Amino acid sequence: MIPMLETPGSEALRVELAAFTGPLDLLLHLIKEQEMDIYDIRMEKLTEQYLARLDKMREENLAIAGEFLVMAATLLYLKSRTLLPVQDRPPEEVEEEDPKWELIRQLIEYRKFKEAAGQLGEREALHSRIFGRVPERVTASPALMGPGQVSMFDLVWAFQKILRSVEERAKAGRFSDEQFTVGQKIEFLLDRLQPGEEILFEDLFRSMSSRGEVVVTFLAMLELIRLRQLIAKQEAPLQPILIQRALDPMLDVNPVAGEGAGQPVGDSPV
Amino acid sequence: MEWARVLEALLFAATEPMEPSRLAAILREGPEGGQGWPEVKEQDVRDELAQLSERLAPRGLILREVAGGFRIGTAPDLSGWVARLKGVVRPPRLSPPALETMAVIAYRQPISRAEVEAVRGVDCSGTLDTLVERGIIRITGRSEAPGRPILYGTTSLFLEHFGLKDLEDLPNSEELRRVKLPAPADPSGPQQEELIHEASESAPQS
Repeated sequence: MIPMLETPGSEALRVELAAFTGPLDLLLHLIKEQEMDIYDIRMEKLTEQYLARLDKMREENLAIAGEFLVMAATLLYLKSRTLLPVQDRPPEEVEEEDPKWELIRQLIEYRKFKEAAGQLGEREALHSRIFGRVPERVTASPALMGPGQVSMFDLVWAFQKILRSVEERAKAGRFSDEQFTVGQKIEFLLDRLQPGEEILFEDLFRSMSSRGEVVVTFLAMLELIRLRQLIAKQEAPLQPILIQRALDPMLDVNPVAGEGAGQPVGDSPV
Repeated sequence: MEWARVLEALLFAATEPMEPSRLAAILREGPEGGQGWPEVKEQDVRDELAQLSERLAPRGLILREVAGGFRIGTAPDLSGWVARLKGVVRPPRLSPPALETMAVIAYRQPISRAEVEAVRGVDCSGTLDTLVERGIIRITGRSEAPGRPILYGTTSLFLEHFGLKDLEDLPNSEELRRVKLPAPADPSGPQQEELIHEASESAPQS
């Protein structure tokens, strides 16, 4: 239930990891390989090379992410357009700019960010080799406690206790065949807890009488913790676990990224 | 300066970047039940930090300015040795797709998933989730755009992970913040023309 770190199509990811991070990355690679000028792309040549590359991936039995196929269709369209004499183009397109520019524009922008990603990667490589002291769990004072201080084991252990008590209640004859979804329970939790408010872990489940409802609520809680909307905390080891709603990011006057610089996060000129 | 030793001890024991103003405040306040140096100003601390950094240079430790504060760490060329210690974990590095997603967010925050995907041309939900989980980015709010999509921004852990003082410290930040983003839906006419203009102008350089 928990180990779903990379949800969408792990196969698509394999292509990304195996070779290119996406169709734009592949196109840039081909443009470079063919020594083309990005502002003067030869559509026919590029399309041919691109399709050849996809074929090769297919031969190697790599699942091809949908985005690569969409790009193939776009390239074929752009190529077909270059074959049409201007007077034969649909009238609404004659006046317009060549749609090829749309792709070129995207490539140029993507390239800038790809280069920036490369530079960030170099910084990361350097700084991952510097070790600093990390907070020690046992000696940390309660004031320093942040998210992640309650381990998964603590939570699961507390959850098992809840499950046992629910089963007893169920035995006592209280039944409910209502169906619950994680989505509903996420809403329930966000309703129940206002930003900053906290509640005892056990109290969250107090009114529930079916195993299913408890399990679904627990999953919803884990999801919200993962999204950093909820925080699980504990004053000290073996103390009761508290679930706190994170402060509403919208109201957070001191956005983390701008700290120290005293600068609001959202002020970059758009 | 007597308090230089105190400064060194504070930086050594700290488990997060220390802002010079905070260090100065501690020095003025004094030790538990004792007398501090009420005259110490933030600038004095900064000067002393610069000296400390020089003193450390030939040694096994370095002083870095990251995420708005200062931190003592081990020298990067010694990482192989330090990694032999039990319990020392280096944070895993990001995958190329995650780095790309990270770059777009870093320069263009706050930004929605659709906007990131418009730049990268691929689905980014997986990498976004991973980055949120690792605490490198966070949900900063919702956009006013239709559907009120969630917006993402960087955290101070992002600055630490990449060894950045602040967001201004990002490489080429001026240029990349100016880059126009492809609109998630269809782009408006005039904007597109502008860009084509810009593109053809700078063509000879590439």
